[in-house]
Amino acid sequence: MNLRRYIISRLLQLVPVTLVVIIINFLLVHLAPGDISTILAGDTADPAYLAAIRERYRLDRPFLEQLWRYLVQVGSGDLGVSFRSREPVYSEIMSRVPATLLLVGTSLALSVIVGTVIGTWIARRPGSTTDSLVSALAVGLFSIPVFWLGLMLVLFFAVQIQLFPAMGMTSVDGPREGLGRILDIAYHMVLPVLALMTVSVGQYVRLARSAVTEVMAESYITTVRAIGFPDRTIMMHYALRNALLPVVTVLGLQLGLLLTGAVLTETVFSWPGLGRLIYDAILARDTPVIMGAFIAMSITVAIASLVTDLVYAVLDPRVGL
Amino acid sequence: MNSLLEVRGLTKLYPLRGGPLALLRGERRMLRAVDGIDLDLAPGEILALVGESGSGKTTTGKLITLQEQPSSGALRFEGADVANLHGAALKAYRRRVQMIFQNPYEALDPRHTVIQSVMEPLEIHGIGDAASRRALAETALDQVELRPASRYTGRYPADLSGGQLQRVAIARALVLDPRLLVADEPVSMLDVSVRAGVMNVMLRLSRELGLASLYITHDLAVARAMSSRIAVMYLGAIVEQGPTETLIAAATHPYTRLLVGAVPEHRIGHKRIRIRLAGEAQALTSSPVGCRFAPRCPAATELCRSVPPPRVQLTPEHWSDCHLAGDV
Amino acid sequence: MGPALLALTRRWAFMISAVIVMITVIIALTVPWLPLPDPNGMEASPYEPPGAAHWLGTDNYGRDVLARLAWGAQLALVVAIVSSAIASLIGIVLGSISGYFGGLIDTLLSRTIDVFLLIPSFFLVLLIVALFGSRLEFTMLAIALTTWPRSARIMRAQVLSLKSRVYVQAARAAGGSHSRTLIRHIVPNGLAPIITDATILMGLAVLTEAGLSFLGLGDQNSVSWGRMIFDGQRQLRIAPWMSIFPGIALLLLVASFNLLGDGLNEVLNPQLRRLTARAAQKPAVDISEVKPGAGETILDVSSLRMSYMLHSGPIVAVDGVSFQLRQGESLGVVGESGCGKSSLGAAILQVMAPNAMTADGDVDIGGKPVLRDGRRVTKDGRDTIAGLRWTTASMIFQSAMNALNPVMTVRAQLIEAFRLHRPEASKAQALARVVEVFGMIGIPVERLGSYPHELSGGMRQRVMIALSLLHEPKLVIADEPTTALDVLIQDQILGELDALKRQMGLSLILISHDMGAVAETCERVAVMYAGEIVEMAPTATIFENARHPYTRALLDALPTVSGPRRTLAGLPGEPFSTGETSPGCRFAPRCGQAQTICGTERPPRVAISTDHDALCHFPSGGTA
Repeated sequence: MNLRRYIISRLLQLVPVTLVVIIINFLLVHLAPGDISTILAGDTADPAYLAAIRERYRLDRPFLEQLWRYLVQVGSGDLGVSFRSREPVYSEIMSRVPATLLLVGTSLALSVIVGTVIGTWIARRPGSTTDSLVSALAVGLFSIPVFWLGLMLVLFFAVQIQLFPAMGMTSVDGPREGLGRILDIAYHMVLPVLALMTVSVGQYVRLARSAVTEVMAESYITTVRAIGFPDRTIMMHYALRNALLPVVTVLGLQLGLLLTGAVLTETVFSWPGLGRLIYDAILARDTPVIMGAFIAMSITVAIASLVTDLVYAVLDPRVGL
Repeated sequence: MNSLLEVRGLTKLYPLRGGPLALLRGERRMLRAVDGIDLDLAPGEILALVGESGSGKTTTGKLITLQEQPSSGALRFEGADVANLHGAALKAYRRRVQMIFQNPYEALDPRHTVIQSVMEPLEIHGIGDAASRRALAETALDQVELRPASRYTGRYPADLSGGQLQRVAIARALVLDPRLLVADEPVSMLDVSVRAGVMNVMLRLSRELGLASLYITHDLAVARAMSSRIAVMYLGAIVEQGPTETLIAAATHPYTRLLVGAVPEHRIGHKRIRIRLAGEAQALTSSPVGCRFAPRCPAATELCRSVPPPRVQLTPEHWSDCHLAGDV
Repeated sequence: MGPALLALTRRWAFMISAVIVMITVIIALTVPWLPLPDPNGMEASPYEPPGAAHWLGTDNYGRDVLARLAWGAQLALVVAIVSSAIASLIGIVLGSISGYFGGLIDTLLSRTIDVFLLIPSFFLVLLIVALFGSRLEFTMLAIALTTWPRSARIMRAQVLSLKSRVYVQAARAAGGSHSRTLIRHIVPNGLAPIITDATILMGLAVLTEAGLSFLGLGDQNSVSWGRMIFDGQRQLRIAPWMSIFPGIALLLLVASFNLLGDGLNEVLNPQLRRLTARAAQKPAVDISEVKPGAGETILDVSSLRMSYMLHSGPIVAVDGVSFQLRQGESLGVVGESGCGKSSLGAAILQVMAPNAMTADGDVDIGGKPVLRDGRRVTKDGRDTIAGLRWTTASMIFQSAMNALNPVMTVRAQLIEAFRLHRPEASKAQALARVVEVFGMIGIPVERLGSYPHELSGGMRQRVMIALSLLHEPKLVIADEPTTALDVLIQDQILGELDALKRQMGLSLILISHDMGAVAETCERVAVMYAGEIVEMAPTATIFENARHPYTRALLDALPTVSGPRRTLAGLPGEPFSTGETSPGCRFAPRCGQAQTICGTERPPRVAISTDHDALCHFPSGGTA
C-alpha cells in the first residue's frame, strides 16, 4: 500500500465515527424525557419559534425521515441554532475555537515535551528511587481534578501573591494589537496552561518511561551496545527514537482527555473558549449548543487520531505502506 | 493395507488478505497450504511427516484432527468418510483422534491442577462419574511415567518442567483411549536430556496400546527415531514417502537428499560436502507449472520446470514425485 | 540501592493507596453512625474557618465541611464501583465474543469499539446528563456507557492471545464446546488486566462525576465532592477551605485507585518486574593496577563468575569458567537451556542484562585485560573492553530475536556501525565496506535498502554476520546463530561461518544447544551444565570418547540420521534449576554412576589428556 492509498483508507474511517456521533445525538434527543421541540427550542420559547424548530427538524415526519434530515443537516455543517443567542451553533463554536486551540495546543506541546524528557530521564535507571518517586508523582499529577487545581492556582497566584490574573484572556484596558496584545494574552495564559499541563504531563512521563524501558530491553539495543556505541548515543539515538512511536500513537486518544480538561479549566478561568461556551450552554440548558459541541469535539479527536496514525505510519516502516 | 486413516487428495486453501481495494477488484489469491496429499496409516503404526516451516505439515495435522475444514479431498477413518463431520459425530471422532501440540509451556490451563486437566476430556464426553474419571486420569498419568501419579495430581503447571508438562499433555490425550494420535513437534521445545524420555513414552504407548501416530516434525533425526515410515513434505505436497531407513539411506528425491545431508551431526570418519542451495521456499499461491522444488533444485532440468513430476513407485512401499527418481 | 528496598518503595505506594481506599470504604459504610453533624444541617454559623468545633470549617450555609466530606466519600465510591462494574461487564462480554468468534462479528464489534474509543466520553456524559437530568443513576450509566470500550478492547486482545494457547486448542480438539472453552479456559485467564483497568476506571469515574458536579450537573440530592468545590468556587476568597478539602479528598482517592491499578499491573505482569531489576556492579580497576595477561591467546577466561539479581535474590549463571582460545581456533559451547552458555558469551564482551554482574574472574581479549576479579579494567577512565568491541571482538546474535533495529534500513545500521569505529571514513567508504562484507556472505546488494522485517530469517542472520565482520575482528562470539532457522538454511549459515573462519583466520566461539551444530563447525567443544564447564575436549574426542557422565548421557539421548539406528536413552530427573545449591556435584542427582562422595564433595577437574578434561569424581573410560 502506498501512502496516498493509506491516507484515503484512513480518511474513510472518519465516516463511521461521524455517523455514530450524529446518530447518538439524534437518538438521545428522541429518548430524552420531554417534547423534542421544547428540548431544542428551550422552555421559554414562543410558539412561533417552536413551530419554526418543528419545521426545521421535520418533527411531524416519520422517525427515519427525521434522522435522514438531521444527518444531511449536520453533514452540511448545520449544527442547529442556539436558542439563547439565536445564532447558528456552527458559528458560535467556530468563534470560540481559536481560544481553546491556543490553550490546548500550548498545554499539549509543553506537556509532551516536558513529559517525554522526564520520562526518558527516569527510564535511564528503571527501578531506582528517583524512578519510583517520579513515577508515583506522575500518577498523582493526573489524578488531580483540573478544575480544583485551577482554583488553587487562582487562590495562590492571583489572590495571595497577586502575580497573575485570575480570569479572562486579555486585560480590559490592555493593548488591542501588536506585541503588547500577544504578551497580554500570554500573561493571562500562564495559570490555565499551568493547570492543564500539570494534569496531562503525568501521562507522558509514564508513557515515555515505559516505552523507553521496554525498548532498552530489546535485543537490538544489546546489539548496539556490543558494537560499542556509547550509552548516551544509544539512549538518544536508538531508544528515544523507537520509544517516541508509542507516545505518538496515544497523542490522538489523549486529546479527548485534554479537551475535557480544557472545558473545566476554561470554566475556572473564564477563558473565552469552547469550554466556557459549553458551561454557559449547560446553565441555560441550551441543548443545541451542547449537541453541537459534542459533535465538534468527537470529530476533532477523530481527526487528531487520524493525523497521529499517519505520522506513525511514516515513522515506522513496519506499518507497511 | 488395512488402513486406520486414509487421506486422498487432501487440500487446504487459505484466502490471502489483499486489503479492501483488492477485494473490490475481485482479486482473491489463495495460499495453497496443503495441496492434494495422500497418506495411509495402519493401526499401531507411527508415520513421521517431515518438512520445513511453511511446508504445510502443521496444517495437515489440523485437517486430520478436523480442527480445520479441508477445502477438498477425502478423509477416511476406520473406513468411514469423516471430512464433513459435525455435531455429535464430530465429537465422537475427536474421542478417537487426539492431538498433542508443540509448546508444552502452554499445554495446560495455568489455573487448573494436573488432575483437572487430565480429567477434562472425560468431562467433555460425559464419561463416568467423578471417582472413575479420577481413576482413569491417574492411570493415564502412570502410563506416561509420571509416577507415582499422586505426586503430580494436585500440582499446577507452573510447578512442572517442560518434559513433565508434555507428559501430562500426552496423558490428557490418552485418557479418552484414542486410536490415532497426531503429535505436532511434541519435543522440539524440550531440552535434549528430557526429549528422549518423552519420545520413549510415545514409542512404548504405540507398542503397548496399539496406538497409531502421525508424528509431525522438522527434524529428520527425531523422525528416524520415532517412525517406521516417513513422508517428506515440501510446499504443501508430499514429495517422497517410504520406510524410514530406506528413505534416509536411499532417498531419491533431491529435496529429501538435501534434508538428510543438512542434518548437522558428528559423522564418524566422514566429512560431507555442503551443496549450495538457491533461494528460499516461496509460498505457493497457484499450482506450479512444473515440479514445485525445481526453482531450488540443484539437479533440475527443463523438463522439471515445465511438467509436473510423475509419481515414481520404487518399491511397493517407497515412492517419489520426481522426474529424476527413476534414474538414481 | 538493593532490589529488596526497591520493591519495598514500590510496595509503599501500593500499601498507602490500599490504606486510603480502605479508609474511604470504612467511612462510606459507617458514615450514618459516625459522630458527625448532619451534612445538610445549617445550625452552625456560615464561613467558620477550621477549628475545634468544626475541624474543617463550615460552608456558606453553615454546614459542616467534614461531615459533607464523609458523605461525599459514599457517593464517590458508589459511582466508582457501579460505573466501573457495568463498564467492565459490558467490556468482558463484548470483548470475549469479538475476540473468540472472529470473522464478521469481530469486524463489527471491533469497529464499534474503535469508534467509541474515539468519542470523548466526558462530552457524551455531559450531553446525556443535560438531556436526561442530573440523577445519579443516569450519571453512572452514562459513565459506564462511555468507558466500556476500554475494557472491551483489553478483553478482546486477551482472548485473541489466549485463543491460540495450546490448552485452549486442546480443549477444543478434545471435543469441548465453544461456550465451555470460553467460560472455563479463556475468560478466567484473561481477567487480570481487566481487573487492573477497572481500578483505573474507578478513578476516572470519580473524576468524571466530580467534573459534572463542578459544572452544575451533579445530583442535587446528594453530597458530592465536586459539588462542594462548585459551591466553594464562589467563596474562594472568603472561605478557601470549602474547596481545598474536597479537592484533596478527590486527589487522594483517585490517585489511590490509579496507584492500586499500577501495583496490580506490576504484580500480574512479571515482564514489568524483569525490566526494572538491576544489579550493582563491582567498582572498576585501572589498568596500571592489574597484571597483564599472557598475551599468546586471543581469549583467556579464568574463574569467571556471573550472577543475576532477581527479586527473589541472586542466582549464579556462570560459575567458575576457565578456558583459552588460540588465534584461529574455534570452540563450541554446548548445553541445555539455563546452563549459562549465553551468559558466558555476554560476560566476555560485557554486554550483560542490567540485572547481571560479574562477581569474579579474569578476562583478557587479544592480550588486553578486560576483567580482573570481576572488576572492569579501565584505561584513562574508559573501559578497556570499549576499545576492543567490534574491532577485536564482535558478536553474532540470534536474528530471530529482533537483534536488528526495526525502524532503520540494514544499510543505515551497518554504515553507522562502521563509522563508529572509523570516524574518519566517508559515507562512500563505509558503504563500500558494507557492500564488500555483504558479498562475502552472499547477501544480494539490492537487500541493502531493506528493513529487517522485509528479510527472511536466513537473510537477517546473514546480515548479523555481515555486521559482525565489518571491522575484521579477530574473535567472533556467535550466540545460537542458527536457532529458529530451517535445517537447510541452518546448514548454509554454518557453512558460511566455517568458510569465513578459515579464510579470515577468525577465532570463533559458537554457543549452541545443538551438539550437531558445533560438531561440524568447531575444533573443540566445551559442555556446560549448571554454570560450569563439565567437560572440554577436541570435537571428535567429545563425540567418540566422552568421559563425563552428562556428556555421555546427552549423546545417548541424541537422535541421529547417520550410523546405526539405536534406542535413545532419556536422562532421569529434571534439569538443574539455578536456585538449587548442593555441596557436591551438580549432576549427581541425575547421574547413573553417582556414589556417596558425588553428593557431598565438589568434583575435581580431572585431566584425561593434555587437551581433554572433565569435572567429575569418576571420569570413567567410556568408549564410543
